[in-house]
Amino acid sequence: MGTDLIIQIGELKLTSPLIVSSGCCEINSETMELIDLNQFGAYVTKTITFNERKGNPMPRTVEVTAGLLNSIGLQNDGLYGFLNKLLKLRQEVAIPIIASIAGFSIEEFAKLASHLAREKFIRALELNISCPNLEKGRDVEIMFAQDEHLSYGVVKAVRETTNLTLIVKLSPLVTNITSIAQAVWDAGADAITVANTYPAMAIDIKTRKPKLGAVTGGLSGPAIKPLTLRAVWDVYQVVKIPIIASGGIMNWEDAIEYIIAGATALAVGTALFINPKVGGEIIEGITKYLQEMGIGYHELIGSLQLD
Amino acid sequence: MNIYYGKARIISNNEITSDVYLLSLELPHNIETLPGQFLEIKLDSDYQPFLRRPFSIFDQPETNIVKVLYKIRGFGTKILSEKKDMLDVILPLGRGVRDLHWQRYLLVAGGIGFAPLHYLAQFLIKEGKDVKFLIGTRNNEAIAYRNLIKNNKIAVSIITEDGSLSERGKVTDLLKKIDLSDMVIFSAGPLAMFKEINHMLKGQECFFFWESHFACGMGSCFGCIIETVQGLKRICFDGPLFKAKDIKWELI
Repeated sequence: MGTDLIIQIGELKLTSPLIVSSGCCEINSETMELIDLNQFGAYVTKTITFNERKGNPMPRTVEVTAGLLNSIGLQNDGLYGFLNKLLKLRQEVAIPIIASIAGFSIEEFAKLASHLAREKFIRALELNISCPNLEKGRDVEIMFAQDEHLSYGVVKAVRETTNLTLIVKLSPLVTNITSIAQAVWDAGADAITVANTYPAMAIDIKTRKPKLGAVTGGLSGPAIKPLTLRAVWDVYQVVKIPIIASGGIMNWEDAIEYIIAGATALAVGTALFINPKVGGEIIEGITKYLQEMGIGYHELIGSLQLD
Repeated sequence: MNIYYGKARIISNNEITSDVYLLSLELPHNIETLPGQFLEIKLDSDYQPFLRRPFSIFDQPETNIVKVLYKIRGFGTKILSEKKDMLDVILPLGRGVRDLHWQRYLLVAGGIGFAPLHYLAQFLIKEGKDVKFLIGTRNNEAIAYRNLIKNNKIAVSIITEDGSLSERGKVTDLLKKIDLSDMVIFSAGPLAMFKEINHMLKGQECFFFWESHFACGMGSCFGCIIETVQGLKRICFDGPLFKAKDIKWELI
């Protein structure tokens, strides 16, 4: 990869602007044959919660027009389960590992952060304050990312436990994403992921039942790109820390759009399900585009022409 | 390399009976597959349908030729039935059948569940096993399915619900007449059939080819889970075969 695509996220220097989205690439015998992690600058783990979670009832995924609804429900081995497997993960993943975490209280977020920040194999944390698949009442009273003060509080509490690079993943379905973005920046975030999936649903008209076992889920894929692109553009106007764009990136053209809107890095997730080789194709496409346009990667960031 | 991801040339893609097609694909190099494994085929143009579609391997007559038997059920399979030149495929996926230590096998197919069982039957005969194959379909598809079984060492019994043949009923009616001692059962078809078969078991080992919608198809998203006594398993990656006695039936 050319030196021109090196980016900085907090303390992390990444050799590629592509990041593997949380929950979209489990390291196993099939994915490791199909997906070339070397095309990516970093790998985000499946979100880790303190306690083990079974996740939501089936069906957990539904195809919709140009998109995917998921309601996995943060199935994961819990913190200790994750730590027990971390050495093995590190043996299989050569690129920097970013741990995605979700607590059900500010204290829990801080606890998770302080445990994981101690691990030398964890190079950054991504705070998942925006999962749309947690049950109101049972898991959380309100999604942290919906509220400016809660968002600030979580990030501040985590910031106080560690100097590790902190990325905060926002929800796109808020009244004013710029105020949330400013709040987390003020609280000490090093980067912001714009954004998580959109709360959404689908209904089977034959049975009149929801298509997802948990009724609602998160929408990802091409259907959301125009929405999240706008969110990236809005957040870019108000923060000076890097933005990791996440929302329907399927090819290099989508990536370029996001970079022009203000993204420093691109998270690719759902696209991997359809095209496991998408990473290499995006890098090749970006490189060619930059050459043809006679522009450098960093010049391109936020270079939307308005006049 | 174990998994192929790329283009496959369509040798043929023909209707063999009402809404059931046999697709024959040529791959650019040799590949090893097991019964129970599947392909993920990209069918979209402009993200419609968005996801790939999974299809069981029906046969692998040569090291670079793979066949799929499928029924038109919706939008994706309709598109597949019209494809002529090339397909974008990923295969083989899934754990497939790993343990074939028994001698006497009973294959029980409900409808298009015949497809993965056909490949298993081929494998078993090559290994010198005894194979009995029961096929039940709603209409007369069972006749076409029986004609696809080329090996005459396989004892085939068919039945249809619509009475196209003299035997009228469901495949489980055929199953009731069989002495299951020393036999291991492998079955594919509707969930209702699995539940019926499970009730009929008296200690016999039985494996079901479980079906599900898949999002990633490669064990990443945990969107296709089944509850077993060993915990949550992914149908795409840990399966698609599961032992009847491992499944937590009360949660299905």
